[in-house]
Amino acid sequence: MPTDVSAPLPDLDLRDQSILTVDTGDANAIITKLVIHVSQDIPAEALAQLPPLLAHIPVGA
Amino acid sequence: MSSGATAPAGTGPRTIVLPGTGTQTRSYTLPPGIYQYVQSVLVHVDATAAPAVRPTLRVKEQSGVVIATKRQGQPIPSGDTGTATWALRLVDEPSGPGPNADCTLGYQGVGADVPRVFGTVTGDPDVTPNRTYAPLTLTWKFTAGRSIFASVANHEGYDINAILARAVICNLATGAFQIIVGNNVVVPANSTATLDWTFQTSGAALLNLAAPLLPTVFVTGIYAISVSINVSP
Repeated sequence: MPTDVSAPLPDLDLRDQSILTVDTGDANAIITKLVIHVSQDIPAEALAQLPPLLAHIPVGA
Repeated sequence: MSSGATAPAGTGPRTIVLPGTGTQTRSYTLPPGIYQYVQSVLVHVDATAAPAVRPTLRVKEQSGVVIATKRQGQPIPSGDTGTATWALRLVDEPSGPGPNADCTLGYQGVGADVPRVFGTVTGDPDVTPNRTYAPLTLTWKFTAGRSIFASVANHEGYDINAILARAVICNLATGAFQIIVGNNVVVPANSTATLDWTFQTSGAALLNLAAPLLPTVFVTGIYAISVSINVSP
């Protein structure tokens, strides 16, 4: 009977071309499928239009 | 750069499904020029020909630096198939010692007549060559659902003899005995597991759970036997 296990996903703000790798840890345990669920894609140039959320705000500005 | 697949830039799939490559690893590279917030990762694993496994998720940034790893707390049992999921807002499943956590049973000196029990280490024993020894029994208990498999480790400075063992599980509730065949068995709740050790004169240290052998005389020399049982959740 198939066994399902689960664990928390590290909540990371990943840049593009970051790599997610799953390793079973044993050469005889084969990964038959990988499924990634992601939020809506946002083009990088769209993000560049937004002001930096944590930018330093000069006094008097 | 990993051999993982990459989603085409500019597309907006919510779910990326990739077939396996027939190996123990699989990767996915976030596409260039696109921001994707990963919400879950799931793998289907075929461990029918493998020991119990606890898959690990590894996250690298673009530079190749590993920035996070997360191992599953529970295993996919040996001989089974299953899935491993990593998702936001999940909590860790209870875990115990990993597959390679040694629970050293102690030393059985060749020359000692009293079996060592779990957790007891009495130091390097005196050994007497050319003696015949009766099988010894080591007993321990596990909590429900724990799988056991045994390995034999060499003791530094000694020539280790071959060790052949048979593992037997006794269900304390029913009194039923089960002789373990194979190297990875889930011990039911409320059970004891007994490992009957026997010895032979030569060969590399190995564990044979298929059938016990009668003890024989040791050749002249010094022997020490160190035994560890690996317990996986």
